[in-house]
Amino acid sequence: MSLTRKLVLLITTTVSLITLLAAGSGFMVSDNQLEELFDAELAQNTRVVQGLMQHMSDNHPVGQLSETLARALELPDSVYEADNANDEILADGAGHRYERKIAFELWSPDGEPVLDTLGAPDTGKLEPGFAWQEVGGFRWRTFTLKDPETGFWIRSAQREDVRDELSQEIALGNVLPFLIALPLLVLAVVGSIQLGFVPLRRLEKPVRHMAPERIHPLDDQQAPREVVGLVHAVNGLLRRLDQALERERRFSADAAHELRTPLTALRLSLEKLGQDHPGEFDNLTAAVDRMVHLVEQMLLLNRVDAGGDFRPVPEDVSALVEQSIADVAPLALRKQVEPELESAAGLPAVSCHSALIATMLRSLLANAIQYSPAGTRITTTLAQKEGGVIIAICDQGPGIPPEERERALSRFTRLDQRQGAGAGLGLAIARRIAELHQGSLSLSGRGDGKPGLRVNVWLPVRQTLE
Amino acid sequence: MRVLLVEDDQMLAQTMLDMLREDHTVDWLDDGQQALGAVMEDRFDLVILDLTLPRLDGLDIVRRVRQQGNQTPIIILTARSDLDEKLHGLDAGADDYLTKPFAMAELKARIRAVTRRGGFGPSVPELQVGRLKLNTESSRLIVGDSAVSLPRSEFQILQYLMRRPDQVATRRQLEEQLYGWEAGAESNALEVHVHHLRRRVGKQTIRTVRGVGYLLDSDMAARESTE
Repeated sequence: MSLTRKLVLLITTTVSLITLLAAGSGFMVSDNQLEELFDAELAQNTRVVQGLMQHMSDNHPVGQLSETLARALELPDSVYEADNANDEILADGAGHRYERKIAFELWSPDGEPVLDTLGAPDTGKLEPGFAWQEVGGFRWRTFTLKDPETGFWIRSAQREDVRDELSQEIALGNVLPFLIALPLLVLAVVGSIQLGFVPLRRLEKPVRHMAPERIHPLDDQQAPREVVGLVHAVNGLLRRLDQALERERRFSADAAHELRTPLTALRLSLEKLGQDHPGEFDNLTAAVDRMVHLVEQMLLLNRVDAGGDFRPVPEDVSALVEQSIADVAPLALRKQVEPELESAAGLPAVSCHSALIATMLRSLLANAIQYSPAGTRITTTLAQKEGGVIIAICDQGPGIPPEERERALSRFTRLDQRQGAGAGLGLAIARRIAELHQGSLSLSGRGDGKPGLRVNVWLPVRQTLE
Repeated sequence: MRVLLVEDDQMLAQTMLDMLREDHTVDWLDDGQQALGAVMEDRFDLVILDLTLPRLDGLDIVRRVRQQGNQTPIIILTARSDLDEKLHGLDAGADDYLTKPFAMAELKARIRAVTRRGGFGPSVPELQVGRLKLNTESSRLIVGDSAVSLPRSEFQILQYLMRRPDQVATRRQLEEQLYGWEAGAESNALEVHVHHLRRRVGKQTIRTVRGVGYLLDSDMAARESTE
């Protein structure tokens, strides 16, 4: 799982949970406090009525009192209109929408109902204090008290759903902003993390493009403190890798010396024997030559693999190709094979290691000559293609069937053991050299229906460094 | 000719001695320091020098010898084939360079080339390939029993080809011979000269490698009649 995804998930989940918890507990607390508040308000309402009643009962008969109260509590019709449903405070200070859900009841000392805006069925017994009562399909919260002076019972009631509605609105008011903010938070977290990982990506780039022949340590000044340890460890690994490759390069050079000198002695001795006894040692000389060739190829491959000091510079490829053909032409002409070049004008200079490219071309041409029957041509074409130059070497030999082409490019593969004296490394070396230049090498048919092999080498004009 | 062979591999040195002594008087040393002393005495006409030697490196020997103004021809032998090393050797003042393993015929050819440059060998300024003889001083070409004086361009082309029989001379190289580095004269001028030359030396003697250059075929030069 990616670190970014993990962090985004962790951070947003944690933040969501904590915020929801805070909102939840806030809701609980406010709900509790609202209950208290509503109860207190209910009790206060009752006491207001009580005070009013005490005052009025001195001057007015009870019947008049109930009428006055009923009139005062009656609300204008506009309260019930639909378009007012959302306006809690009524226009012109007429009152509040929730008023309707508040009711009063009044009983004379002998239990006779005097006022009933609630319309509750008479339960018969009156008890002071808070209680719940079911009226007309709603639950009501009631507060009842008995006025000690007049002996009247007074009760005020409030519908439960009004209280709940208020609590829910307050709770939602707490949670809603957070719900809106959550996606924004996720976006912000993702953005921040991406931004935070920029230094890591900067570190990644040089490692990604580092070729074995161009190993250099990473810049630990650029690394964030969290990965400095990792950068140091990687640098240690790179150093060891470079040393190992250097040992390999040294081995290649040393082996070259150690093998070439005795082979020279062997070859010269055979040459001398051949002078004295013409024809007798031809097979032996051929075997030694083949061994010399194999050793050369292996050492070359080793050197190409190790990269050496690979420093490409812009070169005129057509001159390189010309010279390579010129180098192998005598060999071809001896076999009555005719090499030719079709070069396009105005080819761009290609950044390359000229000695390696020449080695690659000679190897490919020698291969073509080896498999070409007498009286045929080897046509090399040069053209510009896809930001680089394509070199195609086309022979009229037996060719390689499509299914065997990939195998032909691997090391120590000679498709037909009877033919030629090669080591089966030529194509592998050529491909490795092309790859070293960030180019490619592929095999195909001639494309004109005749038998023959076409080797396509593409080299980019410039290589991406680092 | 007196030749000094400096080679620390005994087996190789022995074989080379056997073969070189067919043509020359050859002495052998296997130590760099001794070799330096021997070359400085200036009693040799040619030095064949291995680069990896005990006590004193072959390149150092070349450098020191040349610093002292000693111009004895030196051919370097090395088992390392990197281009850099080859250039170092030639920069240090060696006359030629041969990578192991080599054929004795090649070494002998190099010996001939190097000593000719140094004033040994035939002093007649004449090149010969098969039936063709070219006098490099008078520009006279002799084919069989007829002789002709070549125009400058044709002479330069033929001389270049005859110095490297059976090797391809690229158009680039030939044009450089004719015009120096300011190549780019009329593109078919070279073809015209070659066409004229072919009439003189035989059609098959100068072969075309299409798109690349020309080659003087020594077999044909020996055989073909120009009618």
